[in-house]
Amino acid sequence: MTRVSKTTPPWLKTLKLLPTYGWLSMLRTSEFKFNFYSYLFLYGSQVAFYVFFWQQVAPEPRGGWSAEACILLIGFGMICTSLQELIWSTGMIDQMILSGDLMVVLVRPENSFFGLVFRRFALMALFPAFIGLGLVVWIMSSNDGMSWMGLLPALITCTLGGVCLRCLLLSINTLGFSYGRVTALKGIVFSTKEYARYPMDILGPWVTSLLCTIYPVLLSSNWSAQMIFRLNESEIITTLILAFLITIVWVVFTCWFWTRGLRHYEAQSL
Amino acid sequence: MRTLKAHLLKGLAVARLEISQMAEFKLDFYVFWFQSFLRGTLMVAFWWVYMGSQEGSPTGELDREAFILLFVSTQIFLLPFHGSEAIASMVEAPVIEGRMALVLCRPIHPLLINLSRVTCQQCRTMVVALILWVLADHFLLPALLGTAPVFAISRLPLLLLSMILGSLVNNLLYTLIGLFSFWVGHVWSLLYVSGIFSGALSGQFFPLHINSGLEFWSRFLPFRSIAYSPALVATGKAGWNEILLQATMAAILAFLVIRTFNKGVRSFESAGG
Repeated sequence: MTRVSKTTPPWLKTLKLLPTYGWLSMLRTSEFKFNFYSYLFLYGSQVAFYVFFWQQVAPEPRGGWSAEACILLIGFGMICTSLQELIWSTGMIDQMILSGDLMVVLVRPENSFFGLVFRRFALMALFPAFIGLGLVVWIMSSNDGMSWMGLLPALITCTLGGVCLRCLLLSINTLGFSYGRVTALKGIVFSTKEYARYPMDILGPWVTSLLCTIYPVLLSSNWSAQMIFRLNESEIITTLILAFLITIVWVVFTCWFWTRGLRHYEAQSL
Repeated sequence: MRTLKAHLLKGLAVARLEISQMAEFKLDFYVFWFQSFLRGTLMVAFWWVYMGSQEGSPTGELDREAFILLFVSTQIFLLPFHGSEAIASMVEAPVIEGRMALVLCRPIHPLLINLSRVTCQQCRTMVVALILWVLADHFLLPALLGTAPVFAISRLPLLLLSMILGSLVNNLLYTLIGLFSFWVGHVWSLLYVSGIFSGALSGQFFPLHINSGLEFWSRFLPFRSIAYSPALVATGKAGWNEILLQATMAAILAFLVIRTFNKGVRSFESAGG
């Protein structure tokens, strides 16, 4: 049991609860072993398929993207997806609202927002992130002209992309307070996994602007990959600052929207 | 014969209920269309710009026009099958939660309930997909590629048959994955694994004809039959041979589903009720 005093601020309470959530997630994983091994196999097969795919489709660079640069997208896409799955419970809140199960979280002595986000904390999701990181390092070490200096900012941008996408998902789930089922809307966020595997930034300035702000897909892999093979120092710093700004706006908006949505919630006791 | 008729009538009753449920959540219903089109439109736009970034350079064994034609067709015929993972969850949930005992007591086969509900949802999208494809073939693709329309009305019965078989293969495949929950519990990771194979071998991520080896080996797996076969039939690149391939896959999957379900139910244990 984690001990927290009544005077501890809510965010610190949540941080103290994290090791317990992590331990519980490991217990859950050990319960369904087949699920865990096939999960690792999934990411291995994903890497194999896309390395083959980009070598077939882009034997020579197209739109400024070589096959190696496109394979970087797969690595960063995997890292971003893993970080999102670490806090995957945000995907089911609309169902909890419909069934009235949200009450279970609200009556607990912790922040409802973090309680929901970390309720199904999945520590094992970090393994695919290591596979993705390995892929990125392998591509960087086997190709000249890729900047090792850009690796850290690229990983930070990738993480920020994951945070933005989870914020988008939570905002969509919050619509469940007013509209009930929002499964189709959530499908829009889940399909970002696919977009992350392609160099979507070739789609012109209007679509690109949309894909890095309202529908923040580019942050997760495109911007990160470009920091390694294309951008110079000043461009990396500018992109990083922009990524931080977009993330701050998304986090603030999501917190505000969630608090507003929660006021609409009504359920009978269990 | 009487039993079959009774099962079909029950299936229709479930379909009617499904339609009334659709009307309950209106936002979800409308966004479903938007979501489906957004994905397809973005990817087609991407490939169009990407292929155009280096004129005259073929992609694997396909040139730019053939790539776009097959990619657009496959995306349209995939529209009815978005979110098919739910079929596996519909089988998985009663097994894991122990509700299978209740489901088995009902006077309708549990798999028939699921298949009726899902087929009902898919039917409306299949009609839209067909209309969309005809429109794309007559207006969008000629404008993009500068080629003549490829669809002939005489090929419509073959295309409809191919779409129905594609739906059958898709639903049976995900039902089969869901049935593994009798032995392994949660199957969501298995779904993700199959999602990658399905994306790569169903023509969803790229046309299978970019590589002759890939195209050949995809014939031995069910993923190709879901949307790539209808796309090949619609574009006139395949005929009865593709239908035969789909029918064989559907028959194999139906056999596996029935066998797996019977074995699974025999190994199922739950307490209380």
